[in-house]
Amino acid sequence: MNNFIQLTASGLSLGILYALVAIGFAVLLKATGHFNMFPGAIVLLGAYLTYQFHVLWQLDFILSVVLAAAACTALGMLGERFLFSRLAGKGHKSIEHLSVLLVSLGLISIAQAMVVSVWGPLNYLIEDPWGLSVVRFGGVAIAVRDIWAVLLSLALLAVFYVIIQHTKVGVGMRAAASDPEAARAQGINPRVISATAWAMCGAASVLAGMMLATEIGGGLVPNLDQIAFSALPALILGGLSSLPGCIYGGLALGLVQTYASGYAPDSLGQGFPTMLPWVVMILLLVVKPGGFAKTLQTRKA
Amino acid sequence: MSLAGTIGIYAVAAIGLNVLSGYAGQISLAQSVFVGIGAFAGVGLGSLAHLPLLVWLPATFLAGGIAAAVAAPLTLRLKGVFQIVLSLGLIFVGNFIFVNTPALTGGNSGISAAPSLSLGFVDFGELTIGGMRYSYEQGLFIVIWLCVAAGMVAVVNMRRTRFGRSLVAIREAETAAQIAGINTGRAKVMAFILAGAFGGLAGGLLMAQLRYVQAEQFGINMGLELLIIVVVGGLGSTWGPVLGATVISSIPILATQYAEYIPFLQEDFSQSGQFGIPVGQVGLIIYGLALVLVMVFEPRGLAHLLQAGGRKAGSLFRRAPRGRWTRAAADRK
Repeated sequence: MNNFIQLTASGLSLGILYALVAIGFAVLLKATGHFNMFPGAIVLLGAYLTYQFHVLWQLDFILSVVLAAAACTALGMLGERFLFSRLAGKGHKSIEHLSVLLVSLGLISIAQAMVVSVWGPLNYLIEDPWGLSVVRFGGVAIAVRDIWAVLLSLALLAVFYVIIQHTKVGVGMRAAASDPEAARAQGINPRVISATAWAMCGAASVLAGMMLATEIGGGLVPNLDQIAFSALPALILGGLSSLPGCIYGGLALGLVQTYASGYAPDSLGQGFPTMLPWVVMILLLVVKPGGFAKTLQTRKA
Repeated sequence: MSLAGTIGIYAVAAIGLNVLSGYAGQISLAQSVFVGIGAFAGVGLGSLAHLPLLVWLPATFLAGGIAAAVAAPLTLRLKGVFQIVLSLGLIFVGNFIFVNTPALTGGNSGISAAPSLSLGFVDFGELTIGGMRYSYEQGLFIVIWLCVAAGMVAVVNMRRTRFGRSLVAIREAETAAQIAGINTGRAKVMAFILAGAFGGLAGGLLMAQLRYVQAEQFGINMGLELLIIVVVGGLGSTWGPVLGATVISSIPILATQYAEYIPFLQEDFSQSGQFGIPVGQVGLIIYGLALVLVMVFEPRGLAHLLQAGGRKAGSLFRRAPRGRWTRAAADRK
């Protein structure tokens, strides 16, 4: 029983981080209409910038995370301004709608190489304030970092909720998602919308990247962006552009993965927990290939 | 020599992917899985069972095709983002299967292979033509580029068949193709199988060239590299895969070899605080840059660029038409 509670706690914290990464993808998809993989690179760069600010430049930890998020947001906006927004309609007929995706994949591989070039291939500690400490409730030990991961993520999600539901920008974002041309005709500035989306994406991705790179999460490694890819099933499970969907998808994914690593017998093979979320996603897509697209349509209407 | 072989191997895999992505307009990152399946089928048949070339090489082609036939119904019902994320999922599932069938794949640590290149009457492993003996690598080089040529001829001819035309129709307008009476589902499955089969063939050749394969090789990076080769080379063009493979697979290898002459490169991994691009990372930068530049400046790919350049160069050297104006200009001289 204790084991179960412990697994549930770490599964929830992993799941909420997946949800954050998935939301980074979903917000961009919603605001710009293109599937952009660049948040994967932001997760990676955010964690390394936090390391740079906090460990190498000795800045305060919270300040470092905020600075990293700001830097990544700026990077994303620059990319949007000079690269992604100019790609619309370019490319061979079959990949027209995928040009943004392909360019962002290219940027990810550049980012990965640059990270190794600048910081080296070794595994670092970002010296987060939580370390390996745990709180004990009876016989159950829960990592402090897990608790903070859930609390900070929920706080950020609450901010997102307020922005999307109760501010002018949020309403504009929803309008642009349902009909970009009509939104523009109503005087909604697409640049403001995409800037807000990048800021949200930057904040979510950097927080997730930083949490994934904490000591208990395995430290800072150059292939952190591939961990970000593991959040993609959450995006699909959650229905591609709905933010609550991303949270449910992320939590489900995190729990499935943690329970599998805790309970699956070795006879199921090596790497089974890593693969399980993808199998769940594939099965779901087989059962309901058009289902999500349909919910998306009704949500838009 | 091994560089030209590598280019040929990637070209074979890219020729297959080009059928799927370039002609039929379906995007897949999972081509590397089929390369892996071909490679491990090659290990089993060519190396462990010691079958001759004429058996194991076509068998890798078949293995890739069969695996693709299994995966096709999953991926082809989806579109766009779903399709791409699903193909990522296939990579993870494929890797899981590779790692957990150690008899054939050696698990995580990989397996070495010694396939025979004998064709019965001629052995490409120790080829002798006109009294000159060729090495294993040289014989394999011939085999690889024969496969490239066969693949290109097959695809050029396929383009002219009813099947090829229906693929292009699906790419341009799927609903219209359906209304015109094309069985779009079947055509897409066929394209996927063809892509997988060429992937398998490339895997078999890769196994013969490296003589050592490891499950880790056939991951996201190779899948991405193959997609980049096809896009950079030019989607839906005959020479695209070969051109793309030449540029994308050769530059990292050359950069590794001539690292000391290129600025910003360093041979071993950098110490922290000291900037330098380790040679192992050059490939990633090249792929990324090539993809971004091609998408921004010439989305139709290198093949188109060369074609246009060739036409221009051709017009420079063509004899000027002997019209009134040119004659007048000549007279004035």
